[in-house]
Amino acid sequence: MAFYLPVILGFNTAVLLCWRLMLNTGTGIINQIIRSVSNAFPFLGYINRGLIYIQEVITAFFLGINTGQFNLLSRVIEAGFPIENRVPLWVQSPLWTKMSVILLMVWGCGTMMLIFLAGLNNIPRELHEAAEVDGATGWQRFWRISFPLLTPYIFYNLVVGLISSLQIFEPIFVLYRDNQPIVSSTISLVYYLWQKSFSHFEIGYGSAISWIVLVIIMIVTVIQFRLQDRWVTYDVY
Amino acid sequence: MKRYWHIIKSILLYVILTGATVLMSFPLFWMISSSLKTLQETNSPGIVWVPDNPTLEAYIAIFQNQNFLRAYFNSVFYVTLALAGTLISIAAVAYAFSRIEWPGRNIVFFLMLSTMMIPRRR
Repeated sequence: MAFYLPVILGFNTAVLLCWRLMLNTGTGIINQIIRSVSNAFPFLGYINRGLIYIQEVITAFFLGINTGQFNLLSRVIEAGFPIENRVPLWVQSPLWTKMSVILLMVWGCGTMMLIFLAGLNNIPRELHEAAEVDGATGWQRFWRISFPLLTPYIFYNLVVGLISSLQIFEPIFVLYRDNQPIVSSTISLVYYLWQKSFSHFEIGYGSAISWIVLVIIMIVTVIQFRLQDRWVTYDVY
Repeated sequence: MKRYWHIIKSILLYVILTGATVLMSFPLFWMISSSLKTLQETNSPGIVWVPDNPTLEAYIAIFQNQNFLRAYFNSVFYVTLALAGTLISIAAVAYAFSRIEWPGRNIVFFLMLSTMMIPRRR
């Protein structure tokens, strides 16, 4: 049941504000749990620090590719392995902003889960029974029966999820409301649109962006629809 | 060993699923418990799972706030009118698309579908 809660609550502002509170670096609950767990089990503390290091190096590398200057990467590598008691700097550091937004979006996966549940219930039980009689293992039954019959649902989730991810706005708007001026590593396409047209009042530029967003989404969707013949199975019988 | 394998497997499954459930419902638990805390407890370092003396101050403050009541009334107003409008128009449009043959029906239907391809939110 708990997995459907995000469906009901979605990306509403109260939930986003709660996440904002939870992701606070100093007093947020997530960081406090990480801190206490790493204090209690030194081994997990090492894993935590290693993950922090990997995440920061990778993000700094890609930020460097974006801007063409690798200052941040060299600074992260110079700082070396994170010191003890290091915690992720969720919303405050440019290196962690994407991770915070991704965490939020992963939490809101309930909608897709509902669709998959419906798809799994639609698979005829007889197919599985017949395969079991023939001596197929669970692994084989999954890849030969469940997965092909689920592909339409996977395809739907892929299309809808890609469209809604390209239009991501609310999490960024709520999470980084107070970090003004907002760090450029958090800005998404639609956030940039909003910023340009409603806080800099360049309406024409904003509308141009919105058309380009539409074109990008259209191209991605068309490509997905073109490729669906290769892997989506619609009729089994 | 083989006899116990089923039991072990189901125990493992339940442990994993319970963990995932706790993870998914944790923000909601935290929302509720934070709403019952005092301001000092909300911002305090150190984990406060359940507030020591839970207060309903926040809720009382909300319902005494005139702006909240105003906003609530506005939401109800929007929802009622929007729902009535969409229900009436949806019935008419669906009838036109499914029962009446008219020139350009497919084009208009595709246009309507393309507005659905661009959802405003999930």
